[in-house]
Amino acid sequence: MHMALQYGDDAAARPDAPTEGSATVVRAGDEGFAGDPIVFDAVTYSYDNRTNAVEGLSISIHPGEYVAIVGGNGSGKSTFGKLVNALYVPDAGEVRVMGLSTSDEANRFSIRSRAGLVFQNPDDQMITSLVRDDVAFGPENLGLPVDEVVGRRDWALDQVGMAEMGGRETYNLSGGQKQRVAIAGILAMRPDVIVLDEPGAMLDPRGRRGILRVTHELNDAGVTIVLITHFMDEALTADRVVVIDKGRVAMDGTPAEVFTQHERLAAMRLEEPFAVRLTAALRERGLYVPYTIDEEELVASLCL
Amino acid sequence: MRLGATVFGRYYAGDSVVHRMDPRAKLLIVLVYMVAAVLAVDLWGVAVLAAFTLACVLLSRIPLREVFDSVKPLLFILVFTALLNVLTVSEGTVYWHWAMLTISSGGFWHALVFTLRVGLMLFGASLLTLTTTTIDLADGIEALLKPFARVGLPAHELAMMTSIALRFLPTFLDEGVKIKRAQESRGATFDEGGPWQRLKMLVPLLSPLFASAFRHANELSMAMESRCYHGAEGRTSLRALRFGRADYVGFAMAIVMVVLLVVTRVMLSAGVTGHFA
Amino acid sequence: MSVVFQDVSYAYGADQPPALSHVSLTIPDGQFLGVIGHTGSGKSTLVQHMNGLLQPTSGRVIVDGLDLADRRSRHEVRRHVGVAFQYPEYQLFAATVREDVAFGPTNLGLGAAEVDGRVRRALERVGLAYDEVAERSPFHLSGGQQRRVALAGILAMEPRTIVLDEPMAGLDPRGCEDILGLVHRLHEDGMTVVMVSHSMEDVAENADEVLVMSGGRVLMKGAPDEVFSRREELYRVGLDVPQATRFQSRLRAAGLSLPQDVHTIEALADAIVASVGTRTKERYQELAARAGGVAGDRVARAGEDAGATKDAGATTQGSDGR
Repeated sequence: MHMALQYGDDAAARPDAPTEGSATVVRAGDEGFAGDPIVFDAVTYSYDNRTNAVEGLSISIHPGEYVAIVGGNGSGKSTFGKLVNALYVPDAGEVRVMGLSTSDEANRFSIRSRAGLVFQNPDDQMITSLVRDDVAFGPENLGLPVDEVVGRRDWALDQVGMAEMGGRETYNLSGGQKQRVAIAGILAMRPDVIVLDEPGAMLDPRGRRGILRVTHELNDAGVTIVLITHFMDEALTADRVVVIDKGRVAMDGTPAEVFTQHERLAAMRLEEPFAVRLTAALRERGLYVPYTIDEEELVASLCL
Repeated sequence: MRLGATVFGRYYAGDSVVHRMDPRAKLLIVLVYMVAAVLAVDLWGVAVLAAFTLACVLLSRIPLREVFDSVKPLLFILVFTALLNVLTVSEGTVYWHWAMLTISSGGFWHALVFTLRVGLMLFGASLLTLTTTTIDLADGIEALLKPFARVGLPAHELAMMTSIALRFLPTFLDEGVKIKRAQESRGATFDEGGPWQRLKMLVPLLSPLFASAFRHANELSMAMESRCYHGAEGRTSLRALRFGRADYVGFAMAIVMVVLLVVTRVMLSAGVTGHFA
Repeated sequence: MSVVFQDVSYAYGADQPPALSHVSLTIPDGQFLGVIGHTGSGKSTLVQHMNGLLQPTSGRVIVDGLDLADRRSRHEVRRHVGVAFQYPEYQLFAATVREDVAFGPTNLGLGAAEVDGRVRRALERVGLAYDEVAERSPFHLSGGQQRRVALAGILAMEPRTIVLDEPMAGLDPRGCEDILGLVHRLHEDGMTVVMVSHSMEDVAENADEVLVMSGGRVLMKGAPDEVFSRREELYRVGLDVPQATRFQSRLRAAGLSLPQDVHTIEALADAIVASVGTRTKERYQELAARAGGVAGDRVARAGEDAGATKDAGATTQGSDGR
């Protein structure tokens, strides 16, 4: 199942090969692009021209990475997703997606089909009343041939474990199922990167776990994943964690590197992993153990 | 909470002949059906109309109960038209009279026929949305309006708006109920007091609903944009519209119904006058 | 004030499966009741029965001796039982914060002076400064502030019981902490609190009793210690136990003696220190060195972590790859 996500070996099925026929949205500048799929270069953006939501933000997402972007409300982390998707354009600096600048209007459709964005509210992403129509919405907009749209739609629904649900009404799905349909809708555009903006914030724990599993399966299959979240248990599963505070990168490293810095995280009032919180509580009581995010390691330290 | 599970305008998933029909055909049939409903001025006409409607419901394999439920929220329209007819028409035996209001046997007949006609109209319209997904409906409307696009009518946009409106109808209904309950928790009463009091209570009900509509609209438009939506141009339509046998037959049936109604009308006016009675 | 459910069943429609079936429970005056259960377990339906927004298909709900089957009782009870729905800020409607918070007390028919006093007290209770926010539009506040205004609107009714359906949903950790602190204070002030939550931690740390709902029925009700000890049953209905509870079993499996069941981080830390005693950093390193092998690696890392606050932002700039 995962190999299918490599978009097949034949060149015709690859997303960067211009599709023959009625394709009107040709994805420019993407033949064999091998650099970092997302690059923020000193990006500043303001909603109201008074306070900057992001300020001088520089960050590179590497190919195939699973990156968690963490920060409190108002840290600028949601603005990040919309800047990637060219929904917002930087006031200063540049965002490049697959080498294409979001500031150039001509690149918009290429960018959006190559770096898809999944939003927080599952309801507001269901554009049509039937699951299978909704997943086809993106490919239809790309002007792909009908067979291709159908093929991608069915494949994408299968990838998120919703193959049986194509004929269901979107209104009757659970929040978690809606989010999976939303991911399928993005996947059907065959993106290189998927950015998810707090996809679990409105879901129950079960729905959240389902979404997290899907993102990891997609990442295993080669899709670069950027997960914007404030749930630490989700961030812990990433390859890399970037903490954003006041519109800038405050920390950047592996989950172990970032989450063992108790004082800094506490100062930003971010939630910390369980092992770190317990360690802090033990140290307060005069029992020294080193900070770790690995619960197994904490058990070993305590059982010395 | 599935509060708006049964609501006018919702889609009932299925794979019947009616579901698979071309949306243009269904729209045209509904149009003809509405003409028929206007022509059906007596019980004969209503019977023809009802037979056609029943046939459609059976073919759609949607439980009759579902269709009833989807029309239920609009029941007040029927009650209102019935009352209006009973009270204003003065024909036959008069039972009660006060100022401009009369209750008469003729009034009852009028009310019965008129209510049945309006009810069947709602039934027919509901059957259309029950068997047609919002996007199919949009495609159908767009295709039918296309000839008018040349004179500047935004066919695609109108169709897309209709489709989205229908998609969000149940969501808004849910939210409306929730807002009402939340305000009731704060001591609001919506069914007490004079007209002014009731009017005032609309603000805490409608203002959050509008706020929510704007929020949905904002987020939905971003979601559409991020999925490369850019209007009709260069857009594939997955559902290539093709008239099939069922479409021709369905349309023909609707025409037959209208002819039948015209014929009965002509016959009746030539022979027996007045109502079915 | 007490809330009593007597064999309550509820279905949203005649042909719908019951959302609640045969629920009987008593919430005594002053209790903090945590309600858990996954989506569709009947939690939200249960909550809406507490001030008569929904009326049982069968059975009775009695609040302070008033049977909510009676219309007048329902109106009376709504003065005393405040219900906060999920995302309560979506019900804000007025042009100013003051007007919005005043909506409830005005509906009660109170005089202007009394209403004003209640608005001030309610805003103060949720930690907002009257002078700063009263004349502002609620729609221009931050998400967390909007939620606090919405809660103030309920508190201005000066209820003796407050029912909150997932009051922290959608907030960031900081916002969650603020709201949880507020709920905690309300309980300390003597209010009866019913809180629906997905977070086992929040329930374990705050509730006097925990009610577990599953498939419209009461699966269990009891003290957190009691409920969270029945781990297998909770797993079976898709629920979890607090992380502290899970970690405690891992420590026990590794041979640590922790006789008392605990469900919060603080209690777990106390139990561990009671069992292992205190250790200085030097003592830890000595023990780790003696254990050798993997533990030795940890010593190296332990040495690092004190000064490990490197500025990672600089790392990013370097690896920009331009």
